Amino acid sequence: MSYEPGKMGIAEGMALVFFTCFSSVFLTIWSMHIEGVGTAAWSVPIIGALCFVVMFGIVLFVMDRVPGDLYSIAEKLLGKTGAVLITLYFAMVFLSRATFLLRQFCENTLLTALPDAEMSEVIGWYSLMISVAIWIGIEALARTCFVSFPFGVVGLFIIMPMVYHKFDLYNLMPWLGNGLPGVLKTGFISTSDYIYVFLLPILASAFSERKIIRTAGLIGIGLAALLRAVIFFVYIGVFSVTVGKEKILPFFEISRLIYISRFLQRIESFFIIVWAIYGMATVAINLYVALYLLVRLFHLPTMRPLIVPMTVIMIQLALLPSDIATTIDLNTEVAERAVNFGVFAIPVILLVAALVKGKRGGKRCIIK
Amino acid sequence: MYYKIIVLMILLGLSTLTSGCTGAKETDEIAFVIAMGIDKADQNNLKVTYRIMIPRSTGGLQGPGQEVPEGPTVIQSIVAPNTAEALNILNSTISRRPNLTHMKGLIIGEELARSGISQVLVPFVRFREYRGNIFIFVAKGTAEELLIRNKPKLDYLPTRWIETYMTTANESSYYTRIDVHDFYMRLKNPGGSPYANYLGVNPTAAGTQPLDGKVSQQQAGAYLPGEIPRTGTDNPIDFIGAAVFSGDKMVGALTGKQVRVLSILQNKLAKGYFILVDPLEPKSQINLCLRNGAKPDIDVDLVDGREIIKIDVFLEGEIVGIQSNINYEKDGYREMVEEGASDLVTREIRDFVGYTQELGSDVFDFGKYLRRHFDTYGEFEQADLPGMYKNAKVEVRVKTKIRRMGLMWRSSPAYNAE
Repeated sequence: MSYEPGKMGIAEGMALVFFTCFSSVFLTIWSMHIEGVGTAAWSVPIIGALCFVVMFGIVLFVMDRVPGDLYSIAEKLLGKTGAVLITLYFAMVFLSRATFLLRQFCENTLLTALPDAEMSEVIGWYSLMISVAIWIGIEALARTCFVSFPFGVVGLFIIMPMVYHKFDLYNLMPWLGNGLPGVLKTGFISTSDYIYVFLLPILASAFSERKIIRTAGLIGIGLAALLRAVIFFVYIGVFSVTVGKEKILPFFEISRLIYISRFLQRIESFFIIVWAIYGMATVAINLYVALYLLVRLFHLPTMRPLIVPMTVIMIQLALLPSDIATTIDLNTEVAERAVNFGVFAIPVILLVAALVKGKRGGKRCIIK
Repeated sequence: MYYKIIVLMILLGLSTLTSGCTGAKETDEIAFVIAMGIDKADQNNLKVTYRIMIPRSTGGLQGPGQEVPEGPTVIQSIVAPNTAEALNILNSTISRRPNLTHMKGLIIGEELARSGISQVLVPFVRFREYRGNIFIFVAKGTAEELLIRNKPKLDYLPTRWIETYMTTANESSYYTRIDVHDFYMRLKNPGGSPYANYLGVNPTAAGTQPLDGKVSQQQAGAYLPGEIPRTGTDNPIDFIGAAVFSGDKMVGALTGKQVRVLSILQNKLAKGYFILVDPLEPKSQINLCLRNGAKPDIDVDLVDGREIIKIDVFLEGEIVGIQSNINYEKDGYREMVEEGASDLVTREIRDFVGYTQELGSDVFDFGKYLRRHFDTYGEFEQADLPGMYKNAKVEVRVKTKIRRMGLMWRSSPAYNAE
């Protein structure tokens, strides 16, 4: 069927996971973690990733016993209704993520690069790019992500040393931030940042082996968590807590501080391009997965006729919040409540169902 | 096949339209503000002074007989309730669109600085055209006067003037490099107090007062802006010392010498000339060039609730001059010079810390060393850090090592000199 995601390997899978988990560092998430846990905010991505790896392990365990993608596993274990509910849930999670990211990246484009532009113009152009990316397909999108991936990572590793003159290790003390229980709680809640790794089981038919899903997932989560932790660490070292939690675009603020000499300064424009690429690719991946789930759910023969209507719906939803602060608050609410429910509840439900039914499947996860 | 080519062509065409032309402005439509001064004005207003670049004056002269421009900048002062409104009004006084993205210096008038500047500073961290690396200064007198009188000749461009000053801060360390980001960090985060470079118009250099020449030799370097005994034809602006804040209010000023002590503690002293009284011939002087030999070891403890500051500094350097021609290069004598230098710097550090304790302004950030004594950031935030600093006990230990003797390894007395 034409909605099939194609064939992907570890590189593509890892790139998809990395992009979806990592792109939020270009947004306000740092300031929110600092608000919650103070100087220890850098540990939050690692704690969240560790919690998520456990849940991801449970899903992989279930996939070992029940071959197929997430939809077919849910169908086999929970019946039609269960599969519909789980698929709808994930479709909504990915669509809401695409919506919130689109709005935030558009607002940030106005804020940083194009202050005189109209919001509708920016969101229109971005959505056009996203639609074209989805039209071309997830396979091409994943490879584009893999090609773009080093630019973002290298860019970050260029920025970090360039603000060494503003970095002070004492800004990271006391090491326990606002206290160990708070750090663990916030880390636990931030597990929702990684739910998008479930795109691998959702698109399982694109991967020839379950081992590929496991490897791509773990590398993607590991890299994203590690880099996020390093960036948070540097950010707190540069801005400390009180100033750090004020910023709406921490990454941009860090890049604006670069002043090596009269001749090497004001290089943040370069990084705006990097984060725009990361942002739009992530929105496209999320919207693609939402569309894929709907197509899979309704057994539609193709995805392409839905791209434009879904993009329009996404734009309308993205424009609903009246301002950027409301968007950020809503995003946090959705992540903390709805997304975390899925992260913890769905793998456990599937595990219990798999154990109860006692089914043992084959090693491969190709949809039969 | 054809539709793919058509789509590709359309996308390529669109890519040219999405490259940021929406916000494009021609450079000859823009007035680049390179420095801004803010003073207190009547009725709770601000007097905002803009120094605006004249781009044509910075271009090379095209041929013989071409008129030489008067200066590279124009100055506009506007009284308004705040800086945002002043910017609005500025747009009505100049034909071009004001643009702040290339601003290099923010100068606050002393009266305003003493009454508190946190409200004034707010837009400088929020509005996208301002940057964290704008250098911040306090003007002795008014910022407007300073901007008007500031006419550098060595550096034709005022932007270059500011940047060159900041680049060469470590040459003497009589002033330091501080920008809006650093100032704001100290203002908002607990554990330190803000400070800014202190500038002033020198009346003798400006020719408004005669130079009397009564300068104490011991005072060397201990100047505030406007006090440097000098005359000349270059810029009358003195770039020395620092304005010290407690909270957002200026509470005092550090002299050039005190700023040098701050640089020593911050491990930023790359080069500084020190005058030492000759141990064997007190009427003569020994000149040393010293720098940080290692990062100062600073430890702050809490003993029975009292802050104990332990400062351990290591300096190294060379002898620049020995007026008495006594052979201080020799073993046994060299140690006398090293001990004298260590005593001098120890006294200077004690004076510096004592003075800032009196002002209640922890400009060195001793408070940050206390962070490790608290279990949580909340506890650290709640602690009475300014009070603890005021009552802190200070232990200073300075060690100096003379590594080099300049281009001489032995001094000989002058023939037949008294």
